[in-house]
Amino acid sequence: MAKKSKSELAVEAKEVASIIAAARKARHNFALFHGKDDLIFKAHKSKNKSACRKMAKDEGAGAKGAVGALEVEEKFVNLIVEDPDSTPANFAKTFRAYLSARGLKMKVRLLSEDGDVIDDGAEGDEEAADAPPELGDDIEQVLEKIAKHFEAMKTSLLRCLNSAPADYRERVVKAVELYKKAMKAKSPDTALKALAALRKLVAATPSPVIITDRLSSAGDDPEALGKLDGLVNTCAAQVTSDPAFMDRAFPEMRDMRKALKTAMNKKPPPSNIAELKAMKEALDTMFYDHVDKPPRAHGPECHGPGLTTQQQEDRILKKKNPRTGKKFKGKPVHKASNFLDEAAFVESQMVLRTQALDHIDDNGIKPPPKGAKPVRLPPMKAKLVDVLGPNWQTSVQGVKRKKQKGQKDTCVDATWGPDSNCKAIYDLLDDGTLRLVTLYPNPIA
Amino acid sequence: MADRTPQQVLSDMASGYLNPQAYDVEELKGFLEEAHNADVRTAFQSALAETLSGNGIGRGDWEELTDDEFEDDAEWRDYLTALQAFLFEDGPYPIPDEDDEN
Repeated sequence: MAKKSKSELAVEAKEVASIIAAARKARHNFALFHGKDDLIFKAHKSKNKSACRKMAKDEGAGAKGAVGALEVEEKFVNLIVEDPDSTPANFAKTFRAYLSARGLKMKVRLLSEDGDVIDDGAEGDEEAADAPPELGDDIEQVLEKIAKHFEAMKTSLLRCLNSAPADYRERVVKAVELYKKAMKAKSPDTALKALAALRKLVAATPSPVIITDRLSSAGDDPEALGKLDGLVNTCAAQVTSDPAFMDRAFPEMRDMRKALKTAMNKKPPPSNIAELKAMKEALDTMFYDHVDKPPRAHGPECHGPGLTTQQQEDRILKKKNPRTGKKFKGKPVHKASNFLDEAAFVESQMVLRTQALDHIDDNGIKPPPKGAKPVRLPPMKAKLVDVLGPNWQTSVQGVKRKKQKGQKDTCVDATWGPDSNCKAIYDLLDDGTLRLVTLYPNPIA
Repeated sequence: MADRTPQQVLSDMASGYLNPQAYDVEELKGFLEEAHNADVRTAFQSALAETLSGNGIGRGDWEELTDDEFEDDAEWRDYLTALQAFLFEDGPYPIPDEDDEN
């Protein structure tokens, strides 16, 4: 194979890093084939396996390779291949070398669609320290190593428990119980087997709802999306009976909302656009009413639509909570601002909540121990112009404190300069879910 | 948070808990008192002491971190002293009653 130049590798490195980062958040489909000079790797979140295969073929992919689903969990890249029998030998190792040449030090595993590990990439010496513990060492040391491996998969385990359908969750819980029992009995061989089974289950977590597949096939086609109105109704009913559903299905619901917006911009016929608009509004209401709602957060309460300037002035000068009218405890605020419509609040919510999820993944932040105080994340922020578009100023209002020596404080209109942003603070709870503490439009002069 | 410097821990805590829009100094105190957060507590305490001794971040940076405002350095330092006492010395709630009647 001809060696690629540094600049060619740099371009590919950027593309591959972006795929790996995206696959940390959501399962992708992939095609990975031997080409003339090197591997050809294509992956996409919404395009199906055949489309990925076509993308790879268009770039010169040969006959040998694999298609399937791609998942990334901490250091592990899991390739869940469609046809294990026709997958080339040592493919995990070959792909690991491909990633390494592009600056990504990852471990690669090939799995069957049933979750069986068919190739673990025959890890090298440099990774021996991270390799699963082997029997024969001192029993306490082995148990300690096993416990570390269990701890390392805690975030993905919680995510699985939060998102998987109930019957699947039961299987995962049973596997965890088996692992804990084995650890308590100081039986490392049983604990290792239970850990391996648990890892397989977590890697193969099914989608919480049947949104993804249907959304993938509709893409952003206005007509096809319009036919998914039943799906929005199903989600609304699900949210009513199980409020935690919205937390679990957030990424998929967010993607659906984004697809609806893109479809509306394609200027479909009026009847279709009315249909899409109604679906988007239904989603907005769901997000606004069921995610981040008081008492969980004071976002909608103090910064949502429907607040008057007088209420905002009272918040600054009298420390009055705008909705309850009661005095709040804490530091007096110097600025009080709010979104003027639900869609603007939700739009900011989508961006900032996504940022928070990325922050957790990118920094490997673990949920607190059960029953402990939440982990507070640093504020997430984004410029209002980037979130709401060029007319962002029509969606926000606010006042700020004016101090004058020897006189009582008063309020004046806040100044909304081009750097004004929206800001959100989130807590990561012990069950791995996010709780909004506040979300507000932040006027910066 | 194991790889965060004390000043970074101070920034994380201040921006998360001490922004007037989300002010919750009692929640912060509870968080710092949990046994598994002992390292964070030590780092935060030392960075706060450093800031009070003039070797940490300045008032402008603090205001930017927390979206808060102070009349002058003296008011800011008084507040940090009260905060330190509340968090680490069983002092009273750091916002005086008269501020509640602003």
